[in-house]
Formats: sequence, C-alpha cells, structure tokens
Amino acid sequence: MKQLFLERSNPRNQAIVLCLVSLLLFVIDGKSTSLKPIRQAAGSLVEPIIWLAVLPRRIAAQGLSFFELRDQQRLELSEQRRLAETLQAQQLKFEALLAENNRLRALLGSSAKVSDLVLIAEVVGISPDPDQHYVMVDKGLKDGVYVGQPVIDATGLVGQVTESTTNLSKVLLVTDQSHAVPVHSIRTAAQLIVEGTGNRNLLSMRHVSESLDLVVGDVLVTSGLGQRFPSGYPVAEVMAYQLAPGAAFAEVLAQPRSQLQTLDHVLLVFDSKVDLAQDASSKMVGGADG
Amino acid sequence: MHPQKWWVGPMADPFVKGHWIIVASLLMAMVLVLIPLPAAAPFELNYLRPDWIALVLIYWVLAMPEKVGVPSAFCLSLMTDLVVGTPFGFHGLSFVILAALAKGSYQQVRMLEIWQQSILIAVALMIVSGIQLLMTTLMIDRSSNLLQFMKPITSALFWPWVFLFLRFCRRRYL
Repeated sequence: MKQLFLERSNPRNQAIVLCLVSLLLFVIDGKSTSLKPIRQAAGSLVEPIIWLAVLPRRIAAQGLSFFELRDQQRLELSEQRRLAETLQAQQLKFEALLAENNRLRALLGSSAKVSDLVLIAEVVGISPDPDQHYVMVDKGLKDGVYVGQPVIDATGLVGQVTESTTNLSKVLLVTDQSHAVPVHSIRTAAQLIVEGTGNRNLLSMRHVSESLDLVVGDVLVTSGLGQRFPSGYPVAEVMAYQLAPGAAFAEVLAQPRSQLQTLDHVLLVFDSKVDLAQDASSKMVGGADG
Repeated sequence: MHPQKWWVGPMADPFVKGHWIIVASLLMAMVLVLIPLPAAAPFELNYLRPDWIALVLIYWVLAMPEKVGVPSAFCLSLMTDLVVGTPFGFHGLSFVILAALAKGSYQQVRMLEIWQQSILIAVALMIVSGIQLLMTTLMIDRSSNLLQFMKPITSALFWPWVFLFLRFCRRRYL
C-alpha cells in the first residue's frame, strides 16, 4: 500500500488543470481553425480505427452483391445499359446547348464555365453523434481532396469537405447546424442563404422578406456567391412558407434534394479554376454539369 | 489476482505483461462507438447508443487506478475527439471528471453490487452530459437534442456486461 502515498502530484490538482486545458482547447478548436493542421496530422494516425469500424458495413455490402442471383444481376446490368444509353443521348443535346451557351456568353464577353471535374468517392462512415451531420468518404489528401471542396451526388448538393486525412475525408452535410450555402431560386433568381437545421430532412432560410417572390415548390440551386460552391447545383426545394402577421421575415423551410440519409457514393467536385489537365488521373470523370 | 500486484505502478515497470489489453479494450470501445447502424434502423436510435469509451475508461480506473488515471483519461479524450470528430476538449472535460471521480472513490465503488455501480455511473454520466450540453450551447453555439440524456441510462444498462467482460479479460490476461 505504500506506493499509494508516493504519487507525484495530487490527482485533484491534475484533474482541475486538465479540465481547464480541455475547456481552452474546446473554445480554440470550436471557434477557430488554428488547430486544423494538428487534427489533420493526428487524424491520419487514427485512420485505422475508422477503417476498422466501417469494415463490417463494407463487407456486408459487398457480400450481399456477391450472393445476389445471377439472373437478377443480368437484369440490373441491362437496365443500367439502357439508362446509360438514354443519358448518352441526352448528353448529345446537352453538348449542343453547352456550345450554344458558350457562344452566347462569348458574345456577352463573360467567361464560360463549362463543366467541373469530379471524383467518385464511397461513403464509408456516418457520424456517430446524431447532432453532427457528416459522413466519412474513402478519398483523402492522397487523391487531392482539399478542405472546403464541394461534394455532390446524382441528385444535388451534399455538402463540403471539412477535414481531410491521408485516405479519408469528413464531409459536412448541408443539414448540419453549422452549414450554410448561398443559393438562388431557379424561377425568380432571388438570392438566399440556406442553412442546416440539425434535422436530416430540413433546411431553413433566414431573413426572407415578405416582398421576396418565393413559393412552395421553388427549386433552389447554388448561386456561386462566396466562391465556395460552383453555381448551378440543386440544393433544396421549398417545402413550407409561413408569414406570421406582423413578422418582418417569413419562415421558410426547404427539403434537401439529395437523399442524405442513404448516401452510398458521392462526387467530389474539383475547382475548375485549378488547372486539372495535368493531374487529372484516370479515376477522375469529367462532365458533371455545372 | 493477488491484490499486491495492483500497487505496482507503471513507473516501476512500464512494460508489465498485459498492458496491451487496456489499450485494446479502449480501441474496441472506439470501434463500437463508430460502427454505423444499419440504414434501416431509425436514426433516433443513435441517441440511445451507450458511451462505450467512458464505460471502459471507468472500468480501468476502478480496477487499476495506479495505472489508468486522470492523465490517461485526458490523452484518451483527445483521441476520442479525433475519431468522433468533435472539437478537441469536448470529451476531455467529461473523461477527466469521470476518471477523477472514479479514482477518488474506487475503494468504496468496488464494494458495491454491480447494479449499484450502474446507478452511480448513470448519475455521473448524466452530470457530464449536462456539462457537455452547456459547453456546446454556450461556447460554440450549437443546439443539441435533449434525447442525448438517454445515453447515460443505456450506458448504465450496459455497465454490468462491460464490467463482467473486462473483469474476465483482466483476470485472464493481466
């Protein structure tokens, strides 16, 4: 029992000091980005834990497809082929429109933004904390992913990369409380900012004045203001519009376009301002319309 | 295990056979926290998932307070913040408080029945959840769902199994 009394420092003092250190760290890391480099370096070290945790899910997903009946797979394949053909046909028309758009833009003297390069990533993990909306994807610094990179899926905007380690990235979803994205309505080009609510199916808009022309069903697309998100990706659809008598602003709720609960694969959009011709690897697929 | 061995601190013999089981159990707890629920499960179920890391930490502080103490709890919290994606220090305060409480009272707590320990753990976890709620709302201005106060209760329900499993591991490998 003797060693009990030989402790070098009192555990109570240790606890008080470490509590204060925790609080300090929490404020610094919660409010600023100054600790991001440390998080990034240390995050690469703990990556294996995350891979281990998502392993069962990935095995289950691949195992299921392995045991799928061959007939069913054949059926799916033919369906996919038909879909690809349809899309290709539509793409023809799209290319013509794009060329026309570029000509018109050239006449106006404004620079044309054709399409963005995208990289397909698999969603491997979901936030264990329901109040934080993010997913982990299997692409990281190694693949050229950068913090702030926009992330989309086939149906619309998903969110943006907030942390990236060697092989993994954390994608903050548009529904997270701390997320906001500048949008405009397709119908009227009204400029708005869509914010996450912490609810997986809801987005909200602040400061919508009563004179603004916005109705239920309006589709909101990224406006490109703020330079973070490329313009033109659908974000949400207005779901509810309520103007209380006497209130200065209307309460507007919108529903995100992409299925954020059941994300499987997402597309990381590369900034078209960066010259990607040189580092466009075979994994990158060009031509997400943007 | 002979009680005499309990008082051999890590300073005296840092490579005591079996230290790995402490690290391995903590890593396992992290994996359990991170494993995504099946997509078919209702999303709110996530609020009910026990706080595995805190449970395992409490066990090791109670079982070997001279090896796992407040500083280890703080290091563990930084790693937890990294894998869970919370700002540094979010788990720090709660783990340090839990470890300090456990270390201050392990002699009494060890004497209790397992279900009595469960109740104590529910109370302690409830207190630290309250602190975490205050921290997030006051300092970084995020709101949290009050359903998270169910976590301490489910954690307490899982405590007997964690306790029995880890005691088995400790007796077997340490």
